[in-house]
Amino acid sequence: MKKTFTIFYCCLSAIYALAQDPDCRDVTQKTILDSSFLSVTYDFTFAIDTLSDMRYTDRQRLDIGSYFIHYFSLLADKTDSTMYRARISKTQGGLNPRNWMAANEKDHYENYYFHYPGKGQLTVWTTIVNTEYIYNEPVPDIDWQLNLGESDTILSHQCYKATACFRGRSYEVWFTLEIPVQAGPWKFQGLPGLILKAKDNKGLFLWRATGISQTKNLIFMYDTKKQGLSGTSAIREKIISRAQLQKLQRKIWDDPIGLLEQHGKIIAPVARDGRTGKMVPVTEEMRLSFRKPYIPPLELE
Amino acid sequence: MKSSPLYKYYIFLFFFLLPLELCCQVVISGKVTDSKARKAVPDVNVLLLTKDGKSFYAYTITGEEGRYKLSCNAKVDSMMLKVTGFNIKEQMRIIENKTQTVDLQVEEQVLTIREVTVKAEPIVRRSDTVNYYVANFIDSLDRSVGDVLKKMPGIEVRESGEIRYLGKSINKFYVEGLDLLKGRYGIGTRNIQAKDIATVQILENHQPVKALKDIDFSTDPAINLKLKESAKGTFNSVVQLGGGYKPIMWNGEVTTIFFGRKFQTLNTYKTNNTGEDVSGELKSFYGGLEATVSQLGILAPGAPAIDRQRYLNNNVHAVSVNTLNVLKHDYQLNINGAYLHDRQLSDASSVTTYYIKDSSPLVIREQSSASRKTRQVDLGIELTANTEKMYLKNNLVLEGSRNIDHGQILQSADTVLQDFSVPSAIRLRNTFNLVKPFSSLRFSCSSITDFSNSPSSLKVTPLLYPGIFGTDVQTARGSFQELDSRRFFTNNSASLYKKVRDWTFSLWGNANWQQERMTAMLSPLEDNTKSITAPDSLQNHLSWNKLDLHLSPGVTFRSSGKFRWDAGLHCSLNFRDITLKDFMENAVLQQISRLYLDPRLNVNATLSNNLKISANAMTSHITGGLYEMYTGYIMTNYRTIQNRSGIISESRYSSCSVTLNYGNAILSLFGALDALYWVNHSNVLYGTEYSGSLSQLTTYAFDNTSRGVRTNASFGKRFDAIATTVTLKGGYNYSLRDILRQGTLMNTTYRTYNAGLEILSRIGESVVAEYSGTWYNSHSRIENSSQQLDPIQMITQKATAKFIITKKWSCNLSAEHSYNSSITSGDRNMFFLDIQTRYKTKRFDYTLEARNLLNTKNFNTASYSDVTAYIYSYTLRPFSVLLKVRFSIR
Repeated sequence: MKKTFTIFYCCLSAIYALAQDPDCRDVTQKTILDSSFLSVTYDFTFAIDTLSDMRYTDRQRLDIGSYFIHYFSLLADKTDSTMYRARISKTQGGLNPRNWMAANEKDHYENYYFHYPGKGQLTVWTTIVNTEYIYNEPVPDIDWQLNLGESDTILSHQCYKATACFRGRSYEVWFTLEIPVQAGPWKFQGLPGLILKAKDNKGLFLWRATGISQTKNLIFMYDTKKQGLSGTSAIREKIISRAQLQKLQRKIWDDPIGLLEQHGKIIAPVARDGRTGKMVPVTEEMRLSFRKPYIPPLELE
Repeated sequence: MKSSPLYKYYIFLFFFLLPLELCCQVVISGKVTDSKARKAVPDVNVLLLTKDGKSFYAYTITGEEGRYKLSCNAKVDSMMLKVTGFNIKEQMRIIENKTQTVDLQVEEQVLTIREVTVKAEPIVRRSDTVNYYVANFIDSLDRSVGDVLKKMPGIEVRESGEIRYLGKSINKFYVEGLDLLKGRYGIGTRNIQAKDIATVQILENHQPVKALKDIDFSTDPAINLKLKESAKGTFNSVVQLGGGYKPIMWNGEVTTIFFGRKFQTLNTYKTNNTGEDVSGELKSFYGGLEATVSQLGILAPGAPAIDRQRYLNNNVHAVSVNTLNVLKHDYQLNINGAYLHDRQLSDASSVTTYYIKDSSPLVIREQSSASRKTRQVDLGIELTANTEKMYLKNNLVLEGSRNIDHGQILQSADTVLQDFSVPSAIRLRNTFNLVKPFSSLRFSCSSITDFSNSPSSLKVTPLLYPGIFGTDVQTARGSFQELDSRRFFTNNSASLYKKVRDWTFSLWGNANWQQERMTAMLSPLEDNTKSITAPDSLQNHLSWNKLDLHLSPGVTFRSSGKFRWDAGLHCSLNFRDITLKDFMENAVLQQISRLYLDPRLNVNATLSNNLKISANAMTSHITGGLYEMYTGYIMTNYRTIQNRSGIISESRYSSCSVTLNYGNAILSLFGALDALYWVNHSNVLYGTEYSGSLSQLTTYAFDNTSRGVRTNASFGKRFDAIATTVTLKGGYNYSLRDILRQGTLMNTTYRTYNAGLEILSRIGESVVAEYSGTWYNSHSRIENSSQQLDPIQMITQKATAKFIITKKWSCNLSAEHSYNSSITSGDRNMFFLDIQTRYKTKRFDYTLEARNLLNTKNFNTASYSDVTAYIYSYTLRPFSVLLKVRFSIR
């Protein structure tokens, strides 16, 4: 018999915290780093549960500029703009900035900057709850095996197949020589052409290009020290290592209450016992009952 | 036997060494440089492919120095070496399969690729258009498109059906790119089904006139509904039925809709006696034909300043027909028609006090009941051509109406009966518009031609003031006023705009010719009709002509520097010629020719990110119309006869104003402050003489000046943490005028103060609460008089709470309070309470309303107009319950 609880806490954005969506960023804090000469939009379909067939989709975009390459989620950017517009147009409170998304869409608050701050480096920004976690690593050198003779047409470009093992998973990608840039979705790069499709061998992750255009887009990065719209809780920055980030990301499903406490979203957790209606302090057992099923991460190592 | 392993050893060695012999590792390396500048080219791809280029062996990327190194173990004679990169021209070379150095020189070339887009996102932004995919917002309980629009971020739908986007009203409501309903789109918001719409498009900065697309920038939004394929070309109907008690009430509505590719139609029929004003839905949100006001009428207190449904005792039937046809070559034909039939009853008692300097005030007590019957038909045909090269529109409207009002007044011991009738008034107006751009010059012209004819009459029994008629009229039963009014005008204007960098030069010319004819006669009512002809003083046979020529040059400057400001100066040179003639005698009574100069200056500046200021100054000359200069007396209501001195009234009005707007999104604080000072110089003064309860109003040639000051302030702050907005308002109004009463000149001042508070709060997910309170104080004073009038204080408050109990069930509670300090008989405080509950099922929408739960019988109010005080008590609708059901057929 599972007891049902609701947790009361002092926090600023009541609705989102339990749903584990991170806080929106303040669009007025965007700084422009570069402008892109080539943009590719991708649909990233992923699983958050290894046992079910349910797949979510994020719309992401790869902006290739002369100095930097930026890969980020368009749904996350739209969520931030919706929140900003609601604030400046004084729309009534309680607005869910994600209410325009379809049921199977989910945003990723992750930004990848290639060759930033210098050539050959990769900077990754991940928002968890109300903090931007930043880690830096060299651009991964992926050992691609090219499959000669296997070709396919994606988005009217002729593509060749390549496979590799990367941080615990096996991937298969399709790239085109007609667009000779060494880039692709997520951390995939290093092939002599643009990667238009990628997937893992377990059917958990799939990236598919949906559009290629030469419209100039701005490559932006959030500057948390810049004066923004107040009334929004300020997002903090924290520089960590990739291993530390993986540990934190594990807590999203493994210990969600602990994650919120760590970020100051909960001060004194108390819960209402569903049967008696009384307020009782949260016990270990209750904490465990809030765990979610295992969410498979992209990088296993 | 021992030698066999040795064979195997040799065979093994042979096979082991064989690969080394047959295959060798070939290394190709070199440097890639730019063919022009001979500089190293890093980050380009170097590929080693099969000779036919179809598949490859190896690849690499050149380093900082432009160097590359490739190795392969292929068993071929030759291979292809290829260099590719994003802004270099692809180069290939056939090389031999052996270790070597190959340096390559590449040319710069911009690479163009095939642009491809496949999928669309839920809210997609394409330049100025925002697309909302309805499927992401709709749920089973959404009926009309208005229900879904409310959920879309940035869109607000008001009770009246008016739509706003980010606070701005939309300037067009399109369905599939066609404007069927024009300004009456409220009918569409409430009746078009949400399930028929695929996408809602918001067109930001919409300029509906294509010819002005890049010239006249608009900051207004527009909305376009895109239908699902299944909804195109199908008929749909929405029906509402309702019944209730006290009195027996009905409320019905039928709407039929059809949207095809080249033809669209939306028609409604509404009927009710519940006090719901259906003519409001026929009203245009963009502005329509001004209502013609009659000079004559029955005397009854004006409508009280509360919600119409509290007092309106009506019986109305209204039909509205709207069709749109798309013709060839970008032409479109709109036909809109409406019919209204209404009978309104009212009951009130009033005390009117006229204050006279150094004399006792004149008090008139009346008990009135009135019945007003209206029948109105209008038909409009519009042809539009909207292309980028030209915008053309011709609109023809025909209006016909019939009004019959009966009034009964109890005054002292007399019962006065009044019959006002407009048997058939017609109006015909044609409006023509043309806009044509020529590179940076824009030309537009318009012509309005209007003809109206309105005969009216007022019959009053018994004969209360025989003195008017002079002759022996003891047998007369009453008085009879006839007034026939005919008007024709043609107003033509043309304008030119030219933009030169930051300056815009404009020239506007206008020629307006107006002719009006009035025949009026006040005669006693005899049993044998018209045996006594009215004396000349009670007759009018006037024809009035006005010729107005305007030439108005203007210049506007808009600064494009860091400090943003703009200023505009327009000067209107106006030639005006007015002639007043008596057409029976064929004599010219009055004639003036004038030349006026009316300047207008406005300056706007953005002082900082948050503060905007604007200032205006203007002067304009106004001359009176026919009804400001007729000479024969007209009985305008049962106890007022009026005439004018025949002098053409001329006045010069000047004003200057300043407005400050503050908006600080960081602090969520908004405020506005405005102040206006005005002065009016006029050559006529209105005066009233009283003989008993009869007032005689006339004008005197007397130069006088009136002036005033008006100021308003409002501040609002939003508290995000508690989802509450608080707004504070205040205002002050002061005016100084001269009034003539009983031959005495009174210098009067009129002061009003007002303050208000509004709170709008969202409590949790399911409760929305609103409170608004206003305090109002008005004070009239007669200068240098022993008599002083009491100030009137009014307080009105309203509180509403909306509860969303479940997704299907919601409940509204509203309470109102009104207080007026001047009420002497009757309650000073009035309270109202209403409750409404709504329940939705899959196919039906049920609404149960209980109004005026406290059964408040009268609405008592008092007000001033200069030095006249009105106190009246209006009979209200009693406590009632109404049940309505709404559903669609399809």
